[in-house]
Amino acid sequence: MSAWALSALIGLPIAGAVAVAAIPRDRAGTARAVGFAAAGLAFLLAAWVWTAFHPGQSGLQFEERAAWVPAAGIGYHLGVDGLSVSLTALVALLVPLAIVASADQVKERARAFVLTLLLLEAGLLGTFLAQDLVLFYVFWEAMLIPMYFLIALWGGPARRGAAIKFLLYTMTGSVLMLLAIIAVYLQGGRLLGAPTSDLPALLARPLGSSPTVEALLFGAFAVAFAIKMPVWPLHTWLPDAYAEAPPVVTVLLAGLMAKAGAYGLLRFCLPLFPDAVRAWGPLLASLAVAGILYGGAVAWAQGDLRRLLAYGSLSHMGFILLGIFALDVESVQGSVLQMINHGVSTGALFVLAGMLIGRTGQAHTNAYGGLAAATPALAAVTLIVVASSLALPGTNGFVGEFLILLGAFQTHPVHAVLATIGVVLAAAYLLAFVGRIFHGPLRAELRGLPDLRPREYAVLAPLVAIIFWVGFVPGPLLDRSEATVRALLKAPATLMPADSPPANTKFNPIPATAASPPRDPSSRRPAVPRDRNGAALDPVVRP
Amino acid sequence: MTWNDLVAASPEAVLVLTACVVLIQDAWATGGALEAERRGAATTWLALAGVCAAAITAAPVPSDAVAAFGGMYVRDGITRLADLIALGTAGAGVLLADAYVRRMRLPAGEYCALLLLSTVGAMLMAASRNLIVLFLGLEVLSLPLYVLAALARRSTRSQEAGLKYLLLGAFATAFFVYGVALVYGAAGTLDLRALGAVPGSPLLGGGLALLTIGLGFEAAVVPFHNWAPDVSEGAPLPAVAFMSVAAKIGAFAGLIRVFPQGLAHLAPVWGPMLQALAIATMVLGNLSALPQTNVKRLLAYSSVAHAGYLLIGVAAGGPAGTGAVLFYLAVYAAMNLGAFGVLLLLDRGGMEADRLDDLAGLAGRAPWAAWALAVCFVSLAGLPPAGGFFGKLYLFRAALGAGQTGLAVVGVLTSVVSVFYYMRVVYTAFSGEAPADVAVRRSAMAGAALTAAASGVLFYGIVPARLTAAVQQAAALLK
Repeated sequence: MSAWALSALIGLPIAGAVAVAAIPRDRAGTARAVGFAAAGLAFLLAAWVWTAFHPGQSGLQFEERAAWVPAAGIGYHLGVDGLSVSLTALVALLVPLAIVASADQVKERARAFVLTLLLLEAGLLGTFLAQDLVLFYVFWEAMLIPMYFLIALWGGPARRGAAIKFLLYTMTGSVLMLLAIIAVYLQGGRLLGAPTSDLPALLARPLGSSPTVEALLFGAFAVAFAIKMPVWPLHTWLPDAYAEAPPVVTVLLAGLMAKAGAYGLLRFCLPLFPDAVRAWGPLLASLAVAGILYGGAVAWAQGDLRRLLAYGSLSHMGFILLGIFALDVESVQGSVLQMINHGVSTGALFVLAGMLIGRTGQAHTNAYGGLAAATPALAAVTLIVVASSLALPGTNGFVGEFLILLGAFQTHPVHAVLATIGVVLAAAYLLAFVGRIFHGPLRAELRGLPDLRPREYAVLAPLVAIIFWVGFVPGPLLDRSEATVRALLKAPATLMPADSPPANTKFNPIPATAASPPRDPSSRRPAVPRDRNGAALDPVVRP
Repeated sequence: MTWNDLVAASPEAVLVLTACVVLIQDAWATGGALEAERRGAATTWLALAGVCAAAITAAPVPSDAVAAFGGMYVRDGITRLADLIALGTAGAGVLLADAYVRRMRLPAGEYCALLLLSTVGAMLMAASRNLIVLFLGLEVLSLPLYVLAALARRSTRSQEAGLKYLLLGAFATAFFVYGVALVYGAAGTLDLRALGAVPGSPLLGGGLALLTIGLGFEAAVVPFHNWAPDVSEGAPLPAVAFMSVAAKIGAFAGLIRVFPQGLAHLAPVWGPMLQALAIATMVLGNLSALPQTNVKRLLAYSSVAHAGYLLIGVAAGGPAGTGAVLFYLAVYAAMNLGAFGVLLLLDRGGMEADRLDDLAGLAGRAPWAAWALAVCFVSLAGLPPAGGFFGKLYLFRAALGAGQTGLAVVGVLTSVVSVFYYMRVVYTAFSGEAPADVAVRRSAMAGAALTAAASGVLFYGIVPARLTAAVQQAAALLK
């Protein structure tokens, strides 16, 4: 089964889309059920791949290779490694949840909506699985069209402008990347004798471009990924797209598509252009800090709750970027973990925003107040998700951001110190968000709003479970990415000296030079907060 | 003329014969009436049979270049591919027109015969190894197109289109002939292989520039493109669909024969000229398409822009550039015919529904047509998973491989511009309410052509291996 698991993973949503297309237009419920079944099967498959994945190996697993365009050296090459295995599972998790959540939020043309969502899922999965540059680009661009339609056809009043802005912005970045891909392909052809766009084959030896050419190629790749993430100052499409897209779609935009950008930096920029990364890394780290602070400050000033969350998401993506370009094992590990965390918690925040807007029809925080009295369960879940987004210990966000800051502090101390201000800003805007909506006197017109329905519980439960699971037991996720991250950074394969004490003291930052036998599970969880004494940490949540 | 010459040129011969038979059959069936009340489908079937027969004779892969007519005519891999693309275009043109011609009461026999003759012209251009044959092909290609543009006798717009096309086309052809004369003066030969050994001179350069004007007019290259939007807007839709593709096939096959193949040694002379034309064409074509609200005009400017993309491959030259041009021509034929094919299904009160608003709500009442439209326009925009993506990938690869980075950068950036207007059309088709006065005229033949075009576009995008290998093999003959 492992020989074709990844193709099946991409094929399931496409088959689901074809099946949905065959359903009569007025049978929205059936369409949703079929779509959910396809996405659910894909999730089960992705979960199986995640469990069967062998941690500790840096190379690709579940590899599939086939000739695609042999005359041009373009291959169909799929595989997962530590960078992508958890992201793939995240995609497969969020899409079925989005289909369930859309049942309440998208009434018009529900069948076409599910169909487009499934095509988007196939594109996203392919992006994370492709190991051939051209194949990657095909998936990367192919997911743009479904996303364009999801915003343009089902979005808010200004959807058309927002959708085309999103499309043109992201395309401008990616077409330059296409040229860079072709240049790398031609250069690889010169080196290897036969042109190829196979990533492992191209990585087998240095490309040997001149520093200027390498910097240009790196720039073309980095700009494409930076726009997708987005990185300040290339973020201007984000507030419009996030605010105009239907909230379920924003979940996927912020939760998954943004990750494709960060993933691209790790997958392509770091190994293909190591010298340029070293030369330009500090600049990108500075942009990351600028984004963290800018996003946080602007989010604080927003009244529209979707825009608030959009800028908050921008700020949090800055941490991921900082972690990547700190170029330290811990920080990159933190970034890989934080991609999952951000997907879960920002995804959950937008799901909650969608539930709020669906109940009241209002997107401005001024229209809310004291909602905790009317919808206590909704308020409680929001608080948990906000806690995760704030990186409170005991939630997933803490592990990721702590690792990022820890790693960044070793290579870029000034950046790390400035970035911690972003953590404070996050507390400011997120707690203000909770306060304005749920606390204070209950507004009269909000009296009697329904609390969470069973379907909404079903959507939120897995996300909340992941928040705590990763918060307390981040090992399985970190284990899966560690070997790949080490290989990526060409760091020594082991961590701690054999005689070092076990990593169970409170917030013990393990020095990067340390080493220990790799099979000992505790050694492969560096800098994991072991302290589960939540009592001392909890009060921070309630100001 | 020997028997071998005729065998080599049998695809063209079959088409010419078919054209004559179609004319006679139609005259017989309609009693010579120009606007027959009732018309069977026999003309269409006859023309289709001719196209299929020609395709069968053109299909075998030539093991080596077969020269005929004293070396003036050559049948090699490039000829074969260009022929097959042209024949596919002709077949689609016949199928798409069937219902339209009856609805609008156009003379079906003339339409099919002219279309087939024009195809012969494009094929002849692809087979030319001599500038005289190239000129003959150009004339045989363009003369029927002038008439096709003016085929709707009662429409002043169509008459205007035909006249404009004729006058400007005659002007451009005059440039071409003068260019041929100058080349002869400079080189003493018109044989393209012999020209490959002639040193560059100002006279030869002038001749080449004039040749480029003639071919550039046919391909709608800026600044010789001004006829394209007007003719496209006025001429009957199936004629526009056909000519926008057939003229490009002929012109670019001719450009390949003259520049990368014939005069490869003079690439430093013509390379910069073609690059400049390509940049101007891509930029102006795409920018002019932006504000269009008439879909025929929009597609005309888009076809100008695509001439620019195709020129990238010619300017890059070599096997890579030539192969990329052939691949792109195949994809372009499918996606452009598909785009026009959807418009052909619509009818606004007995007129062509060519306004952007006429497409509104198409997904609601003709979902398959709307999907075909989406596939073709996404492909025109060069986005995966449609064939247009691989077409552009190969063109840009050729440009970067030849060190023409600037050309590739302009190419990709203008592609982004094009996404704006292409997606606007697709968005319109998938949103809003269908206008009451626009009807969808379903027709089995047009549907078949549309299905073939859209699935071809998707096929080239998902499984491009065979076509890639074929164009590489064809272009490898070129040294």
